[in-house]
Amino acid sequence: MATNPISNNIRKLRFYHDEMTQKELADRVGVTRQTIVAIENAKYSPSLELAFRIAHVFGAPLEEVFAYNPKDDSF
Amino acid sequence: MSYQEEKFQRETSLSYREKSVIAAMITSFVIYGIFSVAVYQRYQAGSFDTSEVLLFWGRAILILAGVIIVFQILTQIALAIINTIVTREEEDPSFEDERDKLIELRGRRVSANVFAIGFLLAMALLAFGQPPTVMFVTLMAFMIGSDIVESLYTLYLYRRGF
Repeated sequence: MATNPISNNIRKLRFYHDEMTQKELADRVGVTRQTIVAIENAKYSPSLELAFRIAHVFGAPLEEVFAYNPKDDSF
Repeated sequence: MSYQEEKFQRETSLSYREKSVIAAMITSFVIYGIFSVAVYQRYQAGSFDTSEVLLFWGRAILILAGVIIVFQILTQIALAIINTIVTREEEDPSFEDERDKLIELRGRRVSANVFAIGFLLAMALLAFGQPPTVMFVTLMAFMIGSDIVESLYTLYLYRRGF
């Protein structure tokens, strides 16, 4: 399977926000905990709307939460 | 919850959606199993001409569709109740996020493709002079098959993450 070109720092950001749980983050952005797990593990790339919501929860700009790696992109 | 605990829970526990897919799959297996035996016995017991064969299969498929819908609804209600009692978490069974919707769509696409292959095969059998019963059995087999493939593929996507 191809590597996901979108990586993220959600695990690190949760740690810096008082070890916020996946469930807590999921509730705050309106998705299931399993979706947060899939995003953290780079199995699933969220929609732009959800990505902004996650960044908003951490009070960080989008590029601090998600990063695009062109060399992993196989389009 | 620590990272290790989260990781352990992630690897071992089933989400509500996964439980729902498994419950639906078990219900389908049971209903399709009983239905297949019942149809086979009735078919063996009677002798039909062409118009009666069409009537027989038309009724059989309509009854199956009705029974499946009713039992799937009952299964999901029972699952919601049992899940609430066992986990003590009140999850809204109707809640689905964007990943759930995409997984469902991908499952449906695979299911539609399998059924389309079955439909074409059934028509080809008719075109090559096979009796209507062979066509209907093929159609039913692919209808059941597409349902099972959809459930298995959906489950696979949930387990993989997406």
